[in-house]
Amino acid sequence: MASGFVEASSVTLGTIHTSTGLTSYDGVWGGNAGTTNGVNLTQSSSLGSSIALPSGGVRWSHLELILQDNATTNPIDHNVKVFLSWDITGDDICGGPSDAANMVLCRGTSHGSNCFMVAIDLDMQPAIPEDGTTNEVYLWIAGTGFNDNTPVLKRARLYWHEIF
Amino acid sequence: MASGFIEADVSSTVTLDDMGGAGGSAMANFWGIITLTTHKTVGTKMDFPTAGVRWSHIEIILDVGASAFTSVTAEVRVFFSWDSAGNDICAGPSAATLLVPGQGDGTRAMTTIKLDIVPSLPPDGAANTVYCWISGWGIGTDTPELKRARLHWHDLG
Repeated sequence: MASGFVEASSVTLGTIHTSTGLTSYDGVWGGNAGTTNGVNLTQSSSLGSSIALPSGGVRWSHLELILQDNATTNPIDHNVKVFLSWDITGDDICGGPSDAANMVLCRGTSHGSNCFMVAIDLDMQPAIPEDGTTNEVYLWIAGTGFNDNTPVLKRARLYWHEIF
Repeated sequence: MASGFIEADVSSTVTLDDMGGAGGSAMANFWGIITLTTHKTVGTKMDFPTAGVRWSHIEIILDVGASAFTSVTAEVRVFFSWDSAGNDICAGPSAATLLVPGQGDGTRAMTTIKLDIVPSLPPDGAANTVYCWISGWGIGTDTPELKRARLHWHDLG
């Protein structure tokens, strides 16, 4: 039985809330620097896990997320919700939306300054449907408390393991 | 050992019964029925195991049309029954779960709801068929179109 993760490389997100520092969820979700393009989580042959995401008989365990804001104002008030879609345009949901998860300020600067991090539980067992693509899942993020409403995604890893 | 899903047949338009979705902020006693079954032409085409199976989660996508979908507060709850009359519950009711708008198609309202239960088919159940009942609020319409409902499962080996 195998385990691994699919992940995204560094990318600037689309708008994750409508105004800077907004403290309540407003229904705006950001993908890959646009409103109709999710962040692609995929098998990487050059970094991270090089094992393909199984199409069935697999548990999606959790998601690691590291985002870079442009300031550390409100260091304890950065919250995110996430959902996952089978398709890049974000019309075919496959996971979430999660509850709001509180992020912690990274203790060092290995990802750069003003970075916040969280791990979000998924614990689900999807079987890839016709509208899904092998090794491809798309991530969408809504946030509150950010000083920059288009933060940089420094890391997103979806961990999985086979269940048979 | 296998995994797959059963789903609603939406090959033709499926308009839900009154699920109370036009209400603004609170659940009412309105539930629309969704029949989930194994399809031989779409989906995984695998029979739904009658025992030794974990029901993982359900994907739900509604088309709310041009109604005033409140993307911040729209929520749904679901429960499942063995029978089409909705008298023999087999799962839920779930907690209220947020709906998110489709990012490309803004008429879509969608969510997934975790179940994580291991039922065995009882005498009052039918092979390959489970009924999902859905209630909601903040959706802007009482009778949205069902675009997708998939209950994902895997056998326990």
